[in-house]
Amino acid sequence: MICDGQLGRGALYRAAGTGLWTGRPVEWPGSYPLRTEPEIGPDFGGLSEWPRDQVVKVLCFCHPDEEAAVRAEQEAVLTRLYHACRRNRLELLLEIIPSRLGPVNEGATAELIQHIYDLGIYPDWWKLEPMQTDRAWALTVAAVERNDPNRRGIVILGLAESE
Amino acid sequence: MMSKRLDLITIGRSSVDLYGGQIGGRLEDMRSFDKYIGGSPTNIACGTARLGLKSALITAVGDEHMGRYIREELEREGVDTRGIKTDPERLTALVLLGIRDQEQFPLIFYRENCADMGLCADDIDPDFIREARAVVATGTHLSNPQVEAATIKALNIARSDNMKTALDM
Repeated sequence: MICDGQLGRGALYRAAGTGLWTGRPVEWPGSYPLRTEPEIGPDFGGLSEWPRDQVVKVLCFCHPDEEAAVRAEQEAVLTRLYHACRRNRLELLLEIIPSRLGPVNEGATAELIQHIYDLGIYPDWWKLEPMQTDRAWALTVAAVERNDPNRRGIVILGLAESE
Repeated sequence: MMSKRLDLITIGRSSVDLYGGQIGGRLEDMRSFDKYIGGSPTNIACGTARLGLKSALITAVGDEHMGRYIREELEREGVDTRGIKTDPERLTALVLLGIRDQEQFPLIFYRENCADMGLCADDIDPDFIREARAVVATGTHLSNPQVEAATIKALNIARSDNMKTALDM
């Protein structure tokens, strides 16, 4: 379940201890470049109030061809957030959606993943768009396996698709 | 050698260690405490599991939140928790501690009648002990006759089965 701490507060409280996997978003909805929920504060210190079993979920729109200044700004936010998660002993789920910003080739997601690892960010979970081809899948999985054999897993995005 | 299910079983105390979050201050001046599992046999079981060994722990916890925390945290770390007894009559041990400076670590034990000190010889299952290649005992559980009896029983079973035994002081 992915659920925020405001509209979803009751559900978050009820989910605790049930064994349900819970991700709690911290991105400001729809923001690009990435901004974070005021709830966690500009220093992300609000994360110290989260229970251990809630996964910090952040959605970052990004693309291999995006503007360098935007990329640098987003990377700075992600780097700070990753370290805030580690310091608070919370897991991080990083969601990337390249197709929203422009056309993507088979290697786009893999390239972005490699770039994140190169920054020293090791998300416990990835949330990714469905790939269109087997080769895109293979490249993506290889990028994750190569860099972080200990990650927890990959969640595939439904994005309001019907079942 | 016959293959064994476990590499080692540690036996002894377990606690929730509440570490003052601020380094270099007095315990009086701590602003927050971070929660960890503690007690040397508990730490050894956890550390060896992280290093890739199959470890188990014999101890006891209370039938409450802190006891469940110890069990769950050990499960997350990959430690075999079958040897952890839940004692409905006693509470899980707690320790409050801090890092004052390079030499001083102020601490307060809350171990009066704690769950792990309720361990007794009957809690030691010989078949479970024999699943391991080694038994590691520690000092606290030689400090009173009841827990000592449990520890000695586990060590004797291990010795008579030609397993390795160790005492960590």
